Amino acid sequence: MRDGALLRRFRSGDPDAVRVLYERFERPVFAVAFRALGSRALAEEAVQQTFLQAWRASDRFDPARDPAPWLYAIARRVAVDLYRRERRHKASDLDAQPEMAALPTSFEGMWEAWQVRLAVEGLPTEEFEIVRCTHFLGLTHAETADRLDIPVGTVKSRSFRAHQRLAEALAHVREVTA
Amino acid sequence: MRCGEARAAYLEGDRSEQVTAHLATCPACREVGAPIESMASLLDDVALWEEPAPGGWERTVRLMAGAVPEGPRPPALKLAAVAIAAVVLAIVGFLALTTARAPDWEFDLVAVDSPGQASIAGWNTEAGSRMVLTVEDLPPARDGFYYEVWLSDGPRHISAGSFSGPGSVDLWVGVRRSEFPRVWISLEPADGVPGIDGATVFDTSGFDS
Repeated sequence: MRDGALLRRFRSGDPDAVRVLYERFERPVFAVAFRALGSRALAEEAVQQTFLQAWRASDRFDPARDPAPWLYAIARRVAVDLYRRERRHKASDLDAQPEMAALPTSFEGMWEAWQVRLAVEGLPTEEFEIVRCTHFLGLTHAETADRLDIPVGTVKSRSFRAHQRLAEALAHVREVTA
Repeated sequence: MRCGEARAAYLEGDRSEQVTAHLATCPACREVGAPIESMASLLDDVALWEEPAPGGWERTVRLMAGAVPEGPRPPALKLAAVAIAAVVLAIVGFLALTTARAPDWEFDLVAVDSPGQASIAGWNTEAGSRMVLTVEDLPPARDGFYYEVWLSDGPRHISAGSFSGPGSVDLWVGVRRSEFPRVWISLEPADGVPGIDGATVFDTSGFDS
């Protein structure tokens, strides 16, 4: 997303521009935070903190650049901070320096998860629904057709189109993870 | 097996020999299938599909309202602060104006089986009326009760607000006294039931009999 006027307004701290960015990136931020932290409450706190920090640092944002990597960096830092805060709260006296502990494996692959969720967000709504039914709800094409009240042939063609679209959008991620 | 069937079956999670054999041997499917296959595993991460609860933006705004931006305050926020200040000044100015201006009407209310005195002054506004009620020597409402101010035109009664004891109270109501000439006060039980249940304690002269 490179909407120059919007990003310039964001840089100037315009709350409406912050809201537009929030609407575009709330779900990807939530998804990666949830994946890393394993808690809905912490993931929602991470979303709020991410956008609060983005707004506070908006005067340092370069509107010529894509905001996605910048927001991701903030979201990851927020998730790490929340993880360490929770660990500190749970730490026993024997854990002298919990903040020095390694991050759990759930923090691995956050960037890939971010890219995947962004790509999914970019799908047309009707294709998004079908991909979600397949990969999240684990439905067959026939069950998806029933759920969405559309012919099963439509589900199949949309599913293929959606996966093709995602494969193209995520080619760089597949190269890295392969 | 046809290409479309094999691809659809694969995307459904079908890894049967019939499907995998087709995808492995069909040149067309191999070309499109390999990228889709590697990407499909990324999509199987269920955490990616979790959705945040509604209301996140409102909670974020509350955080922003209590936060101080780092570095120089962005110009738009300066403008917002100026706008808020202007609105506050406008309200204060309006209140000062309506308070300083002589009331459009004022009179003493008549006590009905109640000690004390009450007077009320009103200003006509664009949206209705602002009133200042002053009550003296009236005992505070007992526990579980409150005093309520009403404007009536006969069958219709509009609540203008409530108070608990003597003093001065500012009241706003969306009607004019020219349409609702009777102003009166009742002692109401705090039972959560709207409407007039209690005894009248003050009334407009001429309506008090």
